[in-house]
Amino acid sequence: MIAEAAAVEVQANEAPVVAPIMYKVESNDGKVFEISDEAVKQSNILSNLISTCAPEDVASMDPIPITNVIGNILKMVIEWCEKHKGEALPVEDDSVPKHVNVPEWDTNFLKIDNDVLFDLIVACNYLDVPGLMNYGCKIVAMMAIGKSPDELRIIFAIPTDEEDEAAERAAKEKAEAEKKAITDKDAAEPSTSK
Amino acid sequence: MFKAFSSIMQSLQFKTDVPVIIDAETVPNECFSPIFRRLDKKSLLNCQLACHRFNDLISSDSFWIEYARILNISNVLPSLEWRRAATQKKFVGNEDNEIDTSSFNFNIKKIVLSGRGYSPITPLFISHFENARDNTISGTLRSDDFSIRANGSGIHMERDGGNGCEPHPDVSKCFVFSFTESSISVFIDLVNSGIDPWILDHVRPRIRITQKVNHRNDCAARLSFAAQLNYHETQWIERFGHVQTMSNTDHKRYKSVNKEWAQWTGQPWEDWTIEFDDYPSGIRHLTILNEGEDRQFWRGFYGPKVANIQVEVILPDEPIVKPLAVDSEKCNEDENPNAEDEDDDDDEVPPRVGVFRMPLFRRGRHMYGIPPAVARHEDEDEED
Repeated sequence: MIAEAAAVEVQANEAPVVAPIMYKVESNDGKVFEISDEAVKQSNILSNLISTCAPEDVASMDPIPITNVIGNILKMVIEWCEKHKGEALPVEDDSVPKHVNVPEWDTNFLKIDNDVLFDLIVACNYLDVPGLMNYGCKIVAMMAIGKSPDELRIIFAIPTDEEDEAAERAAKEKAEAEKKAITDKDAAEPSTSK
Repeated sequence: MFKAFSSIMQSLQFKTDVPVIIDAETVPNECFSPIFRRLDKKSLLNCQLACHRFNDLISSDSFWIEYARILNISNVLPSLEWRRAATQKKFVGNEDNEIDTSSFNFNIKKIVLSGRGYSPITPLFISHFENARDNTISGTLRSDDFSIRANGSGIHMERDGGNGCEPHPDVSKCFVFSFTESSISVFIDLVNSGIDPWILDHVRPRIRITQKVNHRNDCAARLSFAAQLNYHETQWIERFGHVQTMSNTDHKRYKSVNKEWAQWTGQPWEDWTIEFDDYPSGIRHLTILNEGEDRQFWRGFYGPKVANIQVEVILPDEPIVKPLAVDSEKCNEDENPNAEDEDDDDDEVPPRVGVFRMPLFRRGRHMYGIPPAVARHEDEDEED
């Protein structure tokens, strides 16, 4: 009995621990990050990109360029994917209630500046990370719930119609001034054509 | 001093505790849509008022279709075939473009906001019974959506299939009448429920009203279940009603089922259905009446039991449009809802004593309760 147990233990020890395959991704500002094959599955775009790669070619591969995402945001997306690796993606199914509850870890993770949060949502939209997109959108939605249109204009930095008109007028005047400066310059310079 | 005060007031006027999140112009539309889809209806309407861009985003049909999916109410929407037909203006029965379909569009936003549309519509009076003392309403309770006229011991809400009869797995709450003729009327504004006027005029879908009915084994009972399709809001046309509550009727615009149970005739819950499928164009409202009493005149709740009242507007499987249909049964009350019908024939059956009579209630009136004596119609007082 003890011998059998020992044999089982030896067999278990002999099973090699498979190191996760790490893919390199590069942000638009040239920063390179590594992401495991399990974490990559949280992003539909990345998992589609790497689906054509053979595991043995990964080491010699150039980093995958992510042209629309800057380094600090891409780092956050990868951190989130690593934390949630192995989890099922949100199901697109009418029978499942769509009320999202943000877990504690994710709530703390998303306690960031609002402009960073929006950049993160834009990155999730680009990389198609439905889980993080769900949580990010939920948190922004919670900020907007119960706000009046005027408060929403402040939250989303939306100019009023008067401000819009003033900005348009200023832009128009600036364009006209530039045009006038060019014509004045042309008039001042002597003609070189024969 | 005044200058200093006014400058302080001006600075306070524009202060707000709302944080600036980000310049919305740098964020693409496809990022705002999922944010908006997580807002409640009131906040969504506020977002629409915030700027033109948000308004355009939130006004799109695709947004509301997705919003309905998130709320798990996709069944309120017309089928994909119907939505496609309305977009392409291609309907069966209009191959020669005889009917002008240019304005035939589904108001998806209105359908989703109503929460009713093409899903089963359940009347809104149940909460009033739940909040009433002993779950019983006595006297008269009226609103834009229903009218309860509860005489005798009142109308009582029973749970778990009701007393004195077989329980039913689908019946959790039922409404029981007492020893004097009482009624529950339900008024459904079909357009406010999300059914587009062009659908009611040119498609005229099947309108099905269903309910479960039973009575106590130990008591005789009578129940009239009647429905009318009307042009005006919260209306009960007496000319039709006199006939409906005395015998079973099956007309284009008004139908009824009447039944009397003798004592000691216990039986399982019955499904009663009224269906309209050949009604005229111009219909906008549906009135449903349940009028009942026990026949032993016993104190308490021994009358008929009604449960699971439900209305469905059922579009045909294929997108079909029909020419406008004229109403051959139109009467004086359709034009003047509060007027007596002048062209009543003398040989018509006179109204039964205590027959339910429903004047037109103006929209926007607050709900109120009045004692039965005040609520009774003048004619009834004369008959008494």
